[in-house]
Amino acid sequence: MADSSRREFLGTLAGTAGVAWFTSQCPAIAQAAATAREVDSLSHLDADLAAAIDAIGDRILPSDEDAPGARAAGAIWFIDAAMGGFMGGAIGALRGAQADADRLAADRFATARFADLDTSQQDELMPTIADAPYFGTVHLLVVAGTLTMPSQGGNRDGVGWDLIGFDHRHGWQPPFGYYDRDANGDPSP
Amino acid sequence: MSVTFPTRKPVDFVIVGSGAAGGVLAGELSTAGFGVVVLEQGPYRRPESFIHDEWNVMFGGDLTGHPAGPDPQTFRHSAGEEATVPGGGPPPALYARMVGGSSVHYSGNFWRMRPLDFKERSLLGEISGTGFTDWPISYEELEPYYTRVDWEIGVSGAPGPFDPPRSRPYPVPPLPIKSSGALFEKGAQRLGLHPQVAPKAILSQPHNGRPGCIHCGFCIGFGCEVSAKSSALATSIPKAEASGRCEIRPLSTVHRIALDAQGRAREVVYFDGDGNEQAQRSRAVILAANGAETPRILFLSEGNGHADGLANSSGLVGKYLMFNGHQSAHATFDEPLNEYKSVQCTRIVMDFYETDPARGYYGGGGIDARPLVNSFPVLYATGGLPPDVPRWGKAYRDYIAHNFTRNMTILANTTSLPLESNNITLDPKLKDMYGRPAVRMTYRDHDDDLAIGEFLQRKGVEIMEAAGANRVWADPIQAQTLAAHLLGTCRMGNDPARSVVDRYHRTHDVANLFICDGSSMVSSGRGQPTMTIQALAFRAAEHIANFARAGEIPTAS
Repeated sequence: MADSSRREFLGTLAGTAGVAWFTSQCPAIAQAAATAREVDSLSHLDADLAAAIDAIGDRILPSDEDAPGARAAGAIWFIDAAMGGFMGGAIGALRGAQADADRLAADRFATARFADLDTSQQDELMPTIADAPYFGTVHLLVVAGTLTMPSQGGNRDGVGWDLIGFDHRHGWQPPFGYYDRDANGDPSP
Repeated sequence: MSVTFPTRKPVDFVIVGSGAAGGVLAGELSTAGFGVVVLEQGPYRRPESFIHDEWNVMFGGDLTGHPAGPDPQTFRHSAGEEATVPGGGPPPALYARMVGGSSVHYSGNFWRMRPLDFKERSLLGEISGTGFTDWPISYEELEPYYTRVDWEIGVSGAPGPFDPPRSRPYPVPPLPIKSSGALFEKGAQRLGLHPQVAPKAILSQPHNGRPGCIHCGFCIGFGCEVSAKSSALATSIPKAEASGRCEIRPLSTVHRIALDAQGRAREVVYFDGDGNEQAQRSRAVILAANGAETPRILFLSEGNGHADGLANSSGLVGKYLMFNGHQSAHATFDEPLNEYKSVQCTRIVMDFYETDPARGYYGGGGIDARPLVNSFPVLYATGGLPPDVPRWGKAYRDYIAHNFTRNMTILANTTSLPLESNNITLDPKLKDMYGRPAVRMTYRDHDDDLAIGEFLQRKGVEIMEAAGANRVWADPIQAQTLAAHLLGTCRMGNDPARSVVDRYHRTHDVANLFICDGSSMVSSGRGQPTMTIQALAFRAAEHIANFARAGEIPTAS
């Protein structure tokens, strides 16, 4: 839905009759919100930096046969885009993480890049990385890249939201959860 | 109906700030027949522009600004410390910069204060080292205006067992209970407590031409795109504009109030959206800029015999800042609660509202059940977990995957004692983009404030345990470093030596300058002040209009 038409239809909600219509349109609205921004190249991260942060992100929220994580969500694309926004100052923390991770890989496994280690080797280094001052920033960006709106580059196809059970619609009716079913009189939340 | 007033011709009232108080004042005074210009520093956002963008709203400060943005703020715990700009997170004085102010992004907990709140000093006696005192007005005097807030702003609710007297029922029924409310109710009842419906400034069904809530879950921190939240943007601002006598002037950052030779407010000087200095002439000025920005403007307006800030002969401008205490605890349950849906709170416990001398310290409050910010995916996964859960790896991923929908929080909302050492001043070094000295906040919770917070947090833990939580953990009790409640910094009182405004919100020192916002409050209440701020604004508007009609507001030459 184009931005202007979205505004128009939300404008109709000033009247009370709009609510039922609004709720009936939820699937379409959710679909619009879940559409990933199309990107085909990095704008702010160079390839080595992106590889390092992607690899660390994959150890923070791993993707495997059981569940998707940061890599499956395309978190690195969000992080790249975020460097052009209010978090642009965090590029230094990302570079610090890359330098530290690559140094650890070289010292411990004689491999130049953290990204080239296998995941068990990476996991051996993660406790050191997780104690570093930059980790909070990297962690936030990886998590945000997995769990924010897909239109911001990550959370591809809403896989992060599916992971945690966050159903992104624009409206709900009770019951909302298991424990209010009796009070709200509907057996199927 | 839009109207534009020329800046060089005096308008009846300039109101600085368009939030909870400024909006009501604008609506009331304009519909009473007065010409009003509202100067608002933020933009005029429309409801249809509000989206569920956690990243930009909660992390980017889209509505509130950044502590290190164009209008930075500094914080310190005591006067002996160097105040610094916080390294991350929200600004210390956290408020929304936009038409409608913080009423746009609040979660709408609308608690009335009770009769005791207005006379607690008389009931309990002196508390050494504090500015604890009675209000110059009573609950009974404010009650009709609380009722106007219920009906004209729009509050959903149902009476509770400890409620103060009310002259009219709630206009619309309670919002539907959430799973956190149901669990909270069960646990509290098992402990012999009296859980009750949480009154909310969010409509449960259509009222006054606005729709009921669609339960989208994006209340706290966000604007409501359907205008079910009873913000000033959705209620009093449209009323003011419909009068044809009120101009909302956004992107207008007030620099100072200029006086005439007789010491009367003559014009309000501000920077417009292009950074050009403007001045709006006015017969009277009302500051409603919030408990941080109102004292800042008074300090910036020194001169003309006001050496320490305008209207500050008492020396109390900026002092007695009160935050309210907010302590939290969390739990997980076996089945999904889905707290990301619907409003924040649906049930509260008010059994511990009053000060109990047996506890050995001053204070009381209410406990509510809510997700807090843990209803938002990124905030939950970065800050909503027990301390022993790893922050990386499969165990981390699987923990958030399982527990995001099974998490709940209780928030203990409590009293703050007024201390002179807790205050707003101008930072001596830091300036904003216009060269105005930055807000410097100095604050450390009184020991009694922390004690009552810990007491109620513990009660919240017991309630969640009694409700069957499979795990409960409490956040550490620590001195607060930011506040969304900015109270007490231009307190109301009868004695000009001990207060800044009188019982009608007129400053003791400048006859055509009024102040009405959180700064007017004498005590903090029990943690949810906006309803009281709006009741004060309805009452102030009535008196100010009467003064104006009677020719009792002298104007500048």
